[in-house]
Order: sequence, then C-alpha cells, then structure tokens
Amino acid sequence: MLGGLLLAALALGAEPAEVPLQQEGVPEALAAPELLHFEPALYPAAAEAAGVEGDVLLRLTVAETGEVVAVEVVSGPGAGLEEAAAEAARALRFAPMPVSVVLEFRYGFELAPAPVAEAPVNLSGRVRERGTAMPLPGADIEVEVGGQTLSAVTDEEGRWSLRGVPLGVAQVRVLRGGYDPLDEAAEVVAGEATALDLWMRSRGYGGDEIVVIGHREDPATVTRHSISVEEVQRVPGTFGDPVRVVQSLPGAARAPFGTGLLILRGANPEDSRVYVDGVEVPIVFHLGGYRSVVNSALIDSVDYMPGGYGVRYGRATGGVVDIQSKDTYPERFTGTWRTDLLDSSAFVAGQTGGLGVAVGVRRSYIDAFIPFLVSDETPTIKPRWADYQAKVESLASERDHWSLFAFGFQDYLFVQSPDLESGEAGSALSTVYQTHRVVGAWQHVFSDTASASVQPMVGYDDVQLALGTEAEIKTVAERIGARAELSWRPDPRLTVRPGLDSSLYRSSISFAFPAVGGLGDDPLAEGEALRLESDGWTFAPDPFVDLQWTPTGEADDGGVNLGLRGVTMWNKAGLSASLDPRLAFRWAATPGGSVKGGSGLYHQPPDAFVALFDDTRLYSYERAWSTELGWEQSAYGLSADATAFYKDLSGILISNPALEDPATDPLVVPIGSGRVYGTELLLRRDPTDHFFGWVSYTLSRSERDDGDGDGAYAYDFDQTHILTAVASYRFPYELDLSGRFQYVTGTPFTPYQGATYQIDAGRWTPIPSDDRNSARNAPYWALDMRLSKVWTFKRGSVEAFVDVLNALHGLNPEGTLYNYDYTESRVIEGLPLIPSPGFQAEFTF
Amino acid sequence: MRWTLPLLFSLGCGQSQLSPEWQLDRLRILGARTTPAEAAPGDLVAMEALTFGAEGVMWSTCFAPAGLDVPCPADEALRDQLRALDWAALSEEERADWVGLAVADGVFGVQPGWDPVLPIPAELAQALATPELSGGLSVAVALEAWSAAGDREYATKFLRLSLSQAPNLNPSLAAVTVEDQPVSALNLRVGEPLVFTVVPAEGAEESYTYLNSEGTEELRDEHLELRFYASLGDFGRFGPAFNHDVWNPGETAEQELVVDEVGEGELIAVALDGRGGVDWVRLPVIAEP
Repeated sequence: MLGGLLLAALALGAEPAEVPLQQEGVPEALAAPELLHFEPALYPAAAEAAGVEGDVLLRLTVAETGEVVAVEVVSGPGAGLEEAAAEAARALRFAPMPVSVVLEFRYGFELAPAPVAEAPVNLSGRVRERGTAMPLPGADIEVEVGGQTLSAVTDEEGRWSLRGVPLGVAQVRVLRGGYDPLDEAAEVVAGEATALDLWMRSRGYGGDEIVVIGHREDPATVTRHSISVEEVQRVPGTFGDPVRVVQSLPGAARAPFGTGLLILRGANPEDSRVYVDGVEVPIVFHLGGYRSVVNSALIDSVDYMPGGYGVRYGRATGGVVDIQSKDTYPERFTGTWRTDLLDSSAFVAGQTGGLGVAVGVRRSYIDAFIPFLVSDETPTIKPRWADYQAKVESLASERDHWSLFAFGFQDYLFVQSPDLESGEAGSALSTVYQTHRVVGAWQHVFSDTASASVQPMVGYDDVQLALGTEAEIKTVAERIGARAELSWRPDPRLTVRPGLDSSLYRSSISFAFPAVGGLGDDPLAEGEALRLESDGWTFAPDPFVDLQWTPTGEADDGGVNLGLRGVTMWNKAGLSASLDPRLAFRWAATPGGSVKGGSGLYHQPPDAFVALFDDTRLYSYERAWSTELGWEQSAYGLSADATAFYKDLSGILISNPALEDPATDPLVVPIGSGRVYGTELLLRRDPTDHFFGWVSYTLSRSERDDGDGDGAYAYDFDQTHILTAVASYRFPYELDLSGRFQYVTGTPFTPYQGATYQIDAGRWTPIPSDDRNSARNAPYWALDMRLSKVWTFKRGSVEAFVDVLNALHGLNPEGTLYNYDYTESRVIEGLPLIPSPGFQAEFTF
Repeated sequence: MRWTLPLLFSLGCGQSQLSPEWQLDRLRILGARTTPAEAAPGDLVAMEALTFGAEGVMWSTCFAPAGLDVPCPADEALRDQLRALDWAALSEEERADWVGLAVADGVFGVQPGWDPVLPIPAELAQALATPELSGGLSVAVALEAWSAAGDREYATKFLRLSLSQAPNLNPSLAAVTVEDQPVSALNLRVGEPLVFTVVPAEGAEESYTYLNSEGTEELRDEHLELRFYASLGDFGRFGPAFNHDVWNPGETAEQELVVDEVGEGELIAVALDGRGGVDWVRLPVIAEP
C-alpha cells in the first residue's frame, strides 16, 4: 500500500500549503520522497492585478531519479495560476527512490496584504553632535504635544520621524548618554511636515582611551587604567600633548628642565625606547620637551610600559613608549588648527574613495621671539622645530588592510655667544636633529582564528653638532626594516604569535675637531686637528614568539603571556645574540580585583656607534632582569593599582678605565652593575561628567656600581619620591579648570670640595668629592594650572586656553651652579612661572 | 643635547648672583711667569707670581708628570713652619737648614724672603731625547698663597721642558692706551665708561714649528688670550659669564670700565700665549666724581 506523503510548497508571495496524499502504486512501506529542490512559482501579473489568489493542486509523477516527469493540474482558481504552478513544479527535484511515484502537490498563491493607511510623517529630525557634525544614533526622542507623549529613537544616520503628531506646539526633548539633554520646541501645522535639525553638545570626560599603561594586546599586562582624549587634553603642563601625560604616571621620573626626557623606573633615558606604530624613533619630544614629534591630532593611543613589557619590544633595559597613530577617520573631512606661543600646527583627516587620509604639519616660531625676551648679555638662542605626518589607509576590505604612513621631524638649535658680532661663526653652536620614516603596513585575516601582518619601513636619521666652522660631529643612520607577525588561535583560550622584528641600518660618523691645545691634564700640550670618518652596517633580525593563554577565553579574566625573544646584532665584527625569556600574568582574583606580575630578561646591545669606532670586537650586551608583582582593584568609582618592582642590572658598559691605545684596547668594558627597586601606586577616580583626577606615587631607588671599587651609588636619575596629583573640573558653559601638583625628591649630584686654578689654561679645575652623588638637589614641587573655554558651533569648535606652569612659583631646583672657583654656589632654578595662552579650532568641511 | 635650551636660559639669567671671576675682592692667584718660559735641562728657572691680597707665596714641585691627579708628598707641619718663618731674620746657616728641609719636601721658594728658582735636572736631557718626548714635557709647579687673614689660595703653573732650539718665549704687553695714548693709570669719572686698549708688543705672538704625530712639521701661530681683573668698577663690554677676549692675530684688545663710586683700585690684564708664556700689566684705577 502506499504510504502517506506530506509535502509543503511555497509559491511566490504565497503561504505554504499542505499537500494531500494519493495512494497509487507505491509500496506502503515507502516513506515520502524527500524534496531536494523547491522551485517557487511566479505570481502572474494579471492574477495579482485582479486580486486572484488560492491554491493550485497538482498531481506529479516523479521518476526513480527524483525528477518530475509529468504534471497534471487537479484544481485551481484560474487567472493563470495553474499554468504558473505547473511550470514551477517541473523544476522540482526529489531524492532518488526505488520506484516511480505519483503524488499530489499544492502551490498556494496568496497576495501580500494591502498596506494599512497610515498617518503621514509630520514631525522628523536629525540629531548630530555639535562641533563634529557627527550623526548620533540611539538618541531617545520624546515629543509632548496636545497632551500626548510620543517617542522615537534615532537611526544610524541620526534620523528619526513620527507620524500623526497632533497639531500644535510640540516640546521635543533629546536624550543621549554623554551629551547634555536638548530641548526644542516645534510647531506642527496641518498639511506640513516639520523637520528639526538638532545638535547635541558632548559633555564630561571619557571617550576613547588614549593612554594605556601596558600593552592593550597583552591580556596579561594590560590594565584597567587608561586615560581618554578629553582627559589628556586637560592635564596641565602637557600642553595637550598625550605623550607628555606619561610623565604624570607611576614609574616616570620628572624630567629636568621639563625636557621631556623619558626617565622610566630610574633608567638612563638612553636605555628606554620610543616607537611610533612599532617603529623606533630616536627622540620623542622636540627641543625643550614641549611637543612630541607626532601631531597630537593623529595620535590614537600611547602605550606606556615602564617595565615588564612583552617580547614584541626589545633591545632595551629601560621602558617603552609606543605611540599608535589613528586608524579611524571621520566620514567628512575635518580640520584642526592649533596655535600658542611656541608653534602652530594644522591637521586634516577624512575619507575619500574607500581610503582614510590624514595630513598634519607643525612649525615653531619661538626662535623669532627669543631675541626680544632675553638680554644682550645672554647667549642668542634660536630653537626651531617642524614635523609632518601623512597617512593613507584602506577602509574597504575587512580581510585585507593596508596603510602607508610617512612622518618626520627636524629640530634645529643655534646658540651664539654675546661677545662676538652676529655672523661670526667662531662662537656659534648649532645642532640639527632630523628623522624621517616611511612605514607600510599590510594585514590579512585568514579566518577568525588566524591573521598575519607585515610592516616594512625605511628611515633616515641625521644628527649634526657644529661648533664654529671647524668643529663638527655628524652621524647618519639609514635604515630599512620590517616587522612581521602571525597570529594564530588554535583554541579560544590560546593565541600564538610568532614574529620577526628586523632592521638593517648603515651608520656613519664624521668627526672633525680643530687643533686645540691644553686639553686633558696638560694645559701646555699641543693639540692636533682630529678628523675621523667611519661607517658600517648592522643587521638585527630579532625573532620572537609569544604565547597568550586566557583560561576562560575572556581577556578580561586575565591570562598568561609567555614569550621568548632573540636579540641579535650582526656587524663587521661578527654575530652576537642572546635570548630573552619573559613571563607575565594577570588573574581576576576577586570581583573588581586582579593580581598581576611578571619576570623577564632584557638585553640591550651596545650603541651602533661603539662598533663604528671599534669594529674589531663584539661587545657584550647590557642585561636587566626585571620582576614585578602588583594588584589592581576597582570599586566605588575608584580604581587603584599597586605594583612593586625589582630590576637587576649587569654587564653595563663603562668607559674602559684602562684604555691606553684606542686601536687595541676595548673602548668600553662590561664592568658596571646596578639595581632598581620600588613600588608604584595609582589611585584614580573614574571620569564623570564633570570631574576626573588621579594620584600617582612612586617610591624607588636606582643604584649603579661602575666596577671601579668605589661601590654602589645613587644613580644620576634616582628620585626617591615622585608624587603627582591631577584633577580637572568642568564648570557650566564648557569652562574647564585643571591642576597638577608634583613633588619630587631632588636628583643626586657630586659636590665639589674645592678647586685649583690652572694658570696656563686660565681655568679652574674642581675637585669632586670622593663620594659620587653624595648630595641631592632640593626637592622639586610645582603646581601647574590650566583654564580653558570651548565654544562649540554646529560644524566646529574653538577652544581658548592658558597653561600656567609653576603657578605658585616654586623654586624648582634643577642643579647647582658654581662660581669661577667653586667657592660659591646657587641653585639652578627651573622654569619660572610661565603662562602660555593659545587656541585650538576644529571644523568639519 | 635637549637640555641645552633651558640650561642656557637658566645660566644666562642667574650667573650674576655669583661672584664674577674678574672681581678682585679677596685673595687671588692670577698668574705665574717663568723665565725662561720653556726651559731645558740644566737651566735655572726663575718664577714670579701675580697675586692679589697675598701676604706670601710658597712654590713647590715634585717633577711629577703633567697631571693634577698625581699627589706629591707634602709635610704639612713643615710647610706650616715655612710659612711662618721670617726669612729676612734668619742667619745664613739657619736659612740653609730650612732650605734643605724645604727642598727635600719639594718646596723651592717661599716669598717674601726666598725667591723661587727651580733648577732643572740635567739628567732629564736623556729622557727628553726620546722620540716620545720630542715635543717636550710639562712639569707641574704648585703655588700656595696666603693672606694676613689666614686665607689660602692654590694654583698650578706648568713649566714646559724641552730640547727645542727655539723655545717658547713669554709674551710682552707694550702698553695700555686710552684714545691711542699710553697711560700709567686709568682716571675716570663715576658713571662714565672709559674705553682702554691693551697693546701687545711687537712679536708678542710667536710663530713656531710643531712636529705632529705623523712626523710632519706644522707652522703654527700663537693666539694670545687676555684676561681682565679689577678691584673697582665693572667691565662693560662682556656679559657676566665672560671675562676674557681672544685676540685675533695682529689685533688689539679693547675693553670698557665703568665705576659707580669714588675710589681707587687696580686693573690687571693678564696675557696667556697658551704654551706657558705669561705677561701682565697692572694699573691703578682712580675714580673721581
């Protein structure tokens, strides 16, 4: 007997219809044939126009192969629906069967319901952000009119609409998190559609994170402490520069004279590294330390790692700061212009043709003002700096992503003694820094679990120092390099990242010095003109592999980073290498609390110029073993972080005390050692609409031993207590008042115990104390203030501000200045009270 | 390098708070001259000190190689006694005894009373004949001056020793002129700057031959450096950080003095040839209303 068959069919615009069964020549045990392909029927236009609908019942003969070999119309409503159903049925395909079967199949034709007559849209609008003209999706719209309350939500374009709004004056209220409520009135008139253009004003602090302590891609080391763009721009003393903010964070010592030197955990500034998009640059601040070398408008984030960083970075025993450029661009081109006493900058960014484009330039002009600010008795100083950035980035593809980023800067300083007429180069000192980089980046996403990136780079560094017309030092480094990285997640809890951080650079140095007698111990010794030129190449292909394990699969729960980095250096003298294992962990031990820690080895090859002067031997690497342990806690709108650290230094290269013949003796010997230890605390109030602030405190000790038998001493950059408190409050009318207080222990120095006059040279030779760095400068304290006011327009904003450094006129000791015979001394005071007004305008084209 | 800008700001703004080097208001050793300026083994070298406010000067040496970090043995008790001696009152025998003790301790002159004359050992000729010392060597001479108030001042004078056939000579200052007229004193009115010129003698800047490290002879010229000191007034031309000028060859050095109170003082100009040769000139300064 035939078994029952039940098939469902759909016709275009029709609901499914059940199919009755027919029993004909089919064994009862057979199951219904499986429909493999359903072919929808076209609704005949004539039937649709006539409003004809109904079911068409067909009788199909299906061969053993599953093909429909015959179609018979059993019943139908007419108007061509039967023909349409039969035509479609011939294309049906069933699963092969042992025998041919005949079955009934029904196509149901049902017209879509006619639209219900709606009231017309008579009140609509678009919500955008004041200043940026950016559409604001997700804003709540409440309209009260005629005793009714209507509501809507803005779409991705910031648009909203309401139908059938009662006539009269409607009170429109717009609400969105992070923005001031907006109230507007609109009159709804019969027969007219009222459209509103609504502009909301952003409020409070928050937004994108820009400064992150740790590396955001490492689950084991990234912390919850991050600082937003809004906060960064309002920290006094930073002049709105996000990179300068790191100097107010734990682990960063105060830079002398506000120079912006990166003194991280008591390390020599030369032992820390600065990167832009993972590419190393020689300096991070322009002359004087007021500005970072990358335009603030292009900076997306600053990763700040005073120690304990992963294997993606290396070749340094100090800390790391990595400036990340923006990879998002406003849909409409926007521009930023900033001017203050020091310099002016311009920046434009936007999207065009599936590309993100950003261009920035900056030029200082303080050199033009200085002659009016100093007396004729002081040296004439002309500092000048300029920088540029240009970036193009693909935005179209999700799987392939590329960018091209060119940036560079030039710093120039000219100093002329006041006792010679201008133009006489004999007393002039000039220095020039110049760096250029072109960085490409390509990233390919293979799958959800695998991606690869390659970042080639070419660069040029040039440093020149000239004294008069005859003395000159010039160093040039031409670089090419590439960073390649593969990210593979074989398991949701495990990520493997092997990579190669390679660079090849050719360095050259030329040194010219005129014959000057009296140098060294014998003031009567004749001098000889010195001219030295040397060049060489260095290849450093550093491989690394990083394993990230997150036990729960969620980075927020913490994880473990285990990495290994090879540090290599290959030059004329040969190949040297070392391996740096590093381990870091973070574990969310309690709600809102995490324990974190790590330990690792860090090797730092000698400066390339050591090899230039002596390419006959391989100099060993300086070593640092760094260990840290800490706790993070968030509660009651506060977040706290306490970290203890210990770093052991060994193999520090010291000028060879036994150097007699530079041609045969090593220039430096690895006899130095040291240690740095301490604790860092950060207590931060989570930003609210009107307030942000934090307190940072570092207690540390940095010691060095030069291996000369005199024992350990407090290192030149040791600062026992570093306390920084930052607070900012936003008053109505977008008026902000911010303050930063700093208290820092004075840096150590070696006092003099007298001096001897060398008659023939006409100079005094001081006699230093036997105990190196046995004295300290007085503590430093200063209160910096910042007052700003923002005027926001529909397509732009203007901010006027004044930064007041050292508002309480603290002493600011920076060193000790002696008189000619070292019998008198006075404190070298840092920068006095300096008000620095300026403005910044942002506008959308 | 990046410290340069703020450092220079600071130095420029604050140097005036410290005593300037040119100001003579306490015990000073300003110069020392040896005759000859460059000596040979076997020579007797006479020495003369230029001091301000000194009651006495002691001269010593240990023939140590050039360099200040080589300590010479000194018997401080003996030197205290030498300082306290009234050399003019000593008998010849007593003087000989004290000189013997002093020479054994490296002292070769105590002024006033025992003028310093340093005999250069003849046996040094052998060492100076070696190629390494063909350019000569320098011997450090220590000067210690003391005042009536008990202050002490120390200086080091280097004496060049060589076998040169054309040894260095001390420079010579010919005159101090005001409006091109030689003067023996600087007479000026309070508040009115006086421009004066120190004129070197003919040939004060020598030309000489130097055998460089590659064995090539170079003809070189001296460039005198002039340093000014005053016990009254202030120099107008230079900034507080500078108190010297560099003569270009054949040029004279012009300076300006301003006094803001009536009084008498002293102007001292010291010329250094950079090779151990020294000369100086002292003039009274008289400031009238």
